Amino acid sequence: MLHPLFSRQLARLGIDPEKPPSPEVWAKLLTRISLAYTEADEARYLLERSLEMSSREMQELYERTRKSSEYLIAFERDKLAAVLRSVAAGVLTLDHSERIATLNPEAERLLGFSEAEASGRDARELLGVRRLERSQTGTLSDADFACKRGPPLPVSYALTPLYQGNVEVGGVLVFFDLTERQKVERLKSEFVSTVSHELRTPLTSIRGGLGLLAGGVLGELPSDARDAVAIAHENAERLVRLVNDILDMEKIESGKMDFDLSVHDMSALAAQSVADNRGYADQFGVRLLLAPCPEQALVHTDRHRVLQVLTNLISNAAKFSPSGGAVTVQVSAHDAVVRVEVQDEGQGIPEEFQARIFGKFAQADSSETRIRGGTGLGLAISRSIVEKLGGAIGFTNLPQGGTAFYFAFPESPDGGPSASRGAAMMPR
Amino acid sequence: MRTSLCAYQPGTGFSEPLPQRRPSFVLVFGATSLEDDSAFWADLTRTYPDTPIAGCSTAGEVLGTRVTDGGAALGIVDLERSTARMVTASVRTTADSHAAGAQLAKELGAADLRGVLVFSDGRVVNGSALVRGLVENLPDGVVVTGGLAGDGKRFDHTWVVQDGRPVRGVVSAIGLYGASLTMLHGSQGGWGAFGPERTVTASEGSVLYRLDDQPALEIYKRYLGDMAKDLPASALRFPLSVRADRNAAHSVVRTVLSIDERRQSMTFAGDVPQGSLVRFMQASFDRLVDGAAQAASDAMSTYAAGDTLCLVVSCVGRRLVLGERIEEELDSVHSHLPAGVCTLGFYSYGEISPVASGDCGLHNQTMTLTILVENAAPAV
Repeated sequence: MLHPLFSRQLARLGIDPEKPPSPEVWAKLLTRISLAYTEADEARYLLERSLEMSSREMQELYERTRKSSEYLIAFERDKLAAVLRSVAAGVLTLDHSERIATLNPEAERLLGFSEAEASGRDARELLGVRRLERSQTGTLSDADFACKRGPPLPVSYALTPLYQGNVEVGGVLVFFDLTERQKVERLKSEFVSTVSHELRTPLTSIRGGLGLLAGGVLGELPSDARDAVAIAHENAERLVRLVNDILDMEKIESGKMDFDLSVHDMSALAAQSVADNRGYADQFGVRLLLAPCPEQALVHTDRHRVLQVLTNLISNAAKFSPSGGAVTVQVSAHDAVVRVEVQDEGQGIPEEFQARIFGKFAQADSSETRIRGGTGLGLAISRSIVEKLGGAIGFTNLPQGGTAFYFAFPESPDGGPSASRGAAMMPR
Repeated sequence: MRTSLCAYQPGTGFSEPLPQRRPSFVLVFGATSLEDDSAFWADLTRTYPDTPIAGCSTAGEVLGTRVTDGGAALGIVDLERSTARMVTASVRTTADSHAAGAQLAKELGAADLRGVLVFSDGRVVNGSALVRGLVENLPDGVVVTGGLAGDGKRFDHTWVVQDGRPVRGVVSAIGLYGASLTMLHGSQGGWGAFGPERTVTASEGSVLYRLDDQPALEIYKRYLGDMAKDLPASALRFPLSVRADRNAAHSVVRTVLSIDERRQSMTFAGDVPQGSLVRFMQASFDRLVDGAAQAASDAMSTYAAGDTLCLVVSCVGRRLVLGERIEEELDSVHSHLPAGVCTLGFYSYGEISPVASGDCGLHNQTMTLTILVENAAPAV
């Protein structure tokens, strides 16, 4: 079996493999065979040469790539370390079982532990907290972190998951020292409280004086003067309410609000509040109704503060109901929970406002503060009072229109404090 | 369509008497040295005084499955239901390339134009620019194929037939007209890229200066070793695969036409744009032969029987690598063609043909086939 190339060479020269060729053809054949060898040598030479050259170049490229990637890795590592050194927040990295892996210098400074001391320890144990709130989005939580020396550090922190590729390998805990901010808040509260106290005394006199004038106790006033005094009296009342609300808020925030707890019948409290506020509702042309109540709905609470909450909810309901409408107060007792609901026939709570309705100075539209005469603190105070008394507060927009605000407390049939918690009292 | 094939060798003359008729056109592919063979050209023009004669110098003449050097391969073509018209344009410098293409296209343009065969000077012309000039000025759907003239392995000068004689610095084109005519085509390489990818850091059009800030010529010499003495021909063994940028999936192949030691530059058959990415390519015998077969298979994929002529334009680089085995690629082409099909053509310095996407372009290192079919019934 001849090689295909050799067969072709024979054919091109017209050589019959069975017969020797003429001397001229023989010479031509030898030339072509020699050429084929030369070409094969050349091809082999080039193949070897290109393999050698490209291998050498590839090796050089590899070395260059290795060096530059080492440099880049070191550069990135240094940059990351510099960022962690400079950042004005404590940063801890945790492994997947919440053991501390690293601390940045700010964390060391704030907590008083060195990285060597903290590394490998359980973060909750070191920081003296029962649990650390995890957040995918970096939502801040407040806590007091234990320090090596000195009192616990008030902080705001976020614990977010740490991913390498798609694998969660631990978490990053970033925290900010709240000491200074809390000091400022305290100073601000004290200032507001002082100013309010200083305002309340003269204001009380002014309101009293105006009340006497407006009531005609000091003699009949000319018609123009009567109107002016009525307006002044009304605004003095409003100012007193605002100062009282601010003082309440400050008391709640500074933890100075004291409660006088004993067992009360919520049905009786509701009835009293309806009676107290009927005159106020009349001003708005709104009927104030009390739905049939349970005979007895006992709760262990502060009577005065519950009446304050009821007044807030009823006056809001009256203000936001149309003239000719009705506000209904209803007390119910089921499953060891006493619930009070105040339903109005207003326009409901706009969706964009629902999340901040219980915030300070919250009004759906700030112009309403002036129109409706509220302080914007009523619901914030109500929530704080109800929660501090161990209850829950909320609202629902009613399908037929209007809103139902409610609060609930654990029923106390034996006359003692109940162990039920607020969350269990939220609507289902 | 009727085609007569004929070979010519100085000394022995024509392999058979030239047919005494008035054909539609004559194709002549010959050695560069044929330029000085006045008797050959006199015979030709005397026999076919009013017939367009087109063709060019080569790096090897193809007739059937044979490759020869030093003579000429001729095809005398009679179209029965179609017509042909030939035009030429001068190219003094590389910068004239685009304008020459545009001029030819404008002169040939007509409603029933089906295809254009282009034969260009192979040393001065930038083939990419020439093809752009043609395509931009031809009606949509007109197929353009052909090639750049060759000069063996010498890379000194080339000629193109104009007015029945060989002339340097010319591009010629034959327009083929008529609904009965179909031009099929296929173009394949068989080369594979190897080694690192390099960035073209200095170039102007088809002139390459630096790759990765090193003189391109120096890199070529390093790879060629002892064979650097055979530059520029030996550089054909390492064509460049060129792609526009890192995101480009498509690449073109470019081969060296000349080198300039003083400027350390290399001139390629088409553009090597600055900023593009290149890799050296190499080929084995088998891959080149398989590539040729694939080109034939592609061209014949929509073939409908009729009078057929096959024009072969293959790259000088393939000839250099295949050497004594060059006819194997022609055998593999023929194995895909119908029996008895007339085949002629040449080894070139660049091939012109549409690519798979339908856009026409300049290729290097390919086997490029044009199958001209004239049917009794008009082609659809």
